[in-house]
Amino acid sequence: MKNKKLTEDEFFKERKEVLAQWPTGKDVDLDEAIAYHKSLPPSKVYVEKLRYAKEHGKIYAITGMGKATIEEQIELLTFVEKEGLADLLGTSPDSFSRQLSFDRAEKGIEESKKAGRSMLNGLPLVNHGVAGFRRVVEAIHSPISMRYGAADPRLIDEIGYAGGHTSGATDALMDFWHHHARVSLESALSTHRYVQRLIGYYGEHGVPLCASCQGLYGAGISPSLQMAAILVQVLMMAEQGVRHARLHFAAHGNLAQDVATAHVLRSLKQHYLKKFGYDDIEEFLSVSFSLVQYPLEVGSAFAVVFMNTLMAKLCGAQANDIRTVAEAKGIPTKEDTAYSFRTAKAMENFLETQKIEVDKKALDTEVAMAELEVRSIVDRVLELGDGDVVDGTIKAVKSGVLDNPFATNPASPCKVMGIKDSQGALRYFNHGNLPFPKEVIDFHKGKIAEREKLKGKKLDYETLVSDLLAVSKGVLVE
Amino acid sequence: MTNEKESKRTVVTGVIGEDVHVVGIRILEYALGEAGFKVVPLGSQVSQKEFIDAAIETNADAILISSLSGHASSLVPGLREKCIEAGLKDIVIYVGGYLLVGEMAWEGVEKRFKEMGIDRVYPPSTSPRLAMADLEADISARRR
Repeated sequence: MKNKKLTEDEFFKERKEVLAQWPTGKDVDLDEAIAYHKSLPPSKVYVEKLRYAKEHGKIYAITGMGKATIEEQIELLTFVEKEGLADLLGTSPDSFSRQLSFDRAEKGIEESKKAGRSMLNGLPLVNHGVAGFRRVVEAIHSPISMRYGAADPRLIDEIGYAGGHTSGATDALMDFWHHHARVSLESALSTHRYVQRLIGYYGEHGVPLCASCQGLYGAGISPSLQMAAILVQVLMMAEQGVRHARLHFAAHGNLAQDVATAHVLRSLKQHYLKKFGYDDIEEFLSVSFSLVQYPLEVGSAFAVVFMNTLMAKLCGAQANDIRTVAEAKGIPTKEDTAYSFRTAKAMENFLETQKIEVDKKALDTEVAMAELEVRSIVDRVLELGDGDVVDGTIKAVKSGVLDNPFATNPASPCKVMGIKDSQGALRYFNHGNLPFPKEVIDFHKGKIAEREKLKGKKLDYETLVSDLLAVSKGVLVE
Repeated sequence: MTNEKESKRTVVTGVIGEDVHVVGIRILEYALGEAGFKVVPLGSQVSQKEFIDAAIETNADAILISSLSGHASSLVPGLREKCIEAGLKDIVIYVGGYLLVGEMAWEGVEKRFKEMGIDRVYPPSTSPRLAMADLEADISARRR
């Protein structure tokens, strides 16, 4: 498998099979969908809204939301828009849909109608079809993004975009590592390539769709690995014609390190696109405060939303990817979601006109080190693929040159492990097979040794556990 | 001591059922590896059959199962019987995590899983150190 743009023949041949997976697939008409998108006001277009945010230093909170029926979805989104002052909205499809079990999702819709409340954990987009979702688009004022991961997102995305979503994800590595235990990387790369081509096709016909990518859940691992996982996929997106991307990363709470991630991600995105002669991709950034478990205690949960907004401000991100303050309790109510958005909005308002910066010296150190790390990984991936990023990625994931400490898929070596230093920055406790020069390895060792000295004991897996749970307890590092 | 007794202790690990939460089991695998165990990680969404097949293939001493979905009471029954049928007479089986949805007291949860033939049952946030000490003892007893 190579990083090569799908031809129209290949794309439309595959498309026939994709749309045949469920009866509503036959209602997707690309020409009609393109015309529909062109009829939408700019205020309902994700790229337009993010561009405005970038030009005016705005930060918009985002999260996923999903109910079983269109009526409930409209009620939820309208409420979050009105009471939560949300600027951007999201659709989370239910987990049956993500597994392509559309028959089970259908049953869930029937049960929800009978029960008078949602019996699914998201919106079954495919079952509702293009016309169903357009009722949502018409009932609200803001752009809507699809937010989910699946081993095979092709049909959901076909229906989602034709239905009027102006943004979605394309993240094969994320879906391979975290969302499905049995999918092969080749298969995930192939279904996601299709989605990238679909987004590219809309773009070539005058409809700018925004594709998000985060590479992996960042929790518990030094940021360079996530950046590398994003950047290799940016090259795949560019080849298939994606022109606008929201690059999403996890911030860990050491603000110098978090801001460094934003810097390095931006500069290396340009570097690698240029290296392969691609036109630049218009990039937007979004950030989320990385945590394994949301705080159960509501005071700390609000603090997480505040911190998330501060991180977005410092990083120059346009989107502030929050979860609701009720996350730890279960599926949030519309009030939970609206109040969390309101919290983020107030925090953004407080910060909006102010210039704040992290410590320059600390930032420079973090930038230099992160850049060296990311380049080491991505250059090695390209070398493994003889210049081809898809081939290189497949080889790199097998050999752990691109690795993940918490992959759900056993095809990943999971040799890397992260740990916090005494300032709460994430370091490599074990760098596994990541191709780092000695300088990088020594830097991380040194930072870990500093914390060991302060604690007066060796750091071990007990520390790993405590680091993973620290933010949930309302502390950065114990 | 025979060769078998000297050989490295092998454990099959994984998350049972539909669950994709792997942070807990990955930390445990890491700790086991550091402590010199041979770890056979199956990742998440693992079926009973996959646990048993992997245990046979690797001649494992133990199966360590993690579950965070709260559905373990419908996923674990029958595993012990199937292990015996497959010839894994002495295999050590542990289960840990958020096992049951609801507020049932821990003693009740533990009793329920022990009745299913599970050797040890651990609540969330158990230190890997404790589980590994138990594992050393239980494997030594079975190998004797």
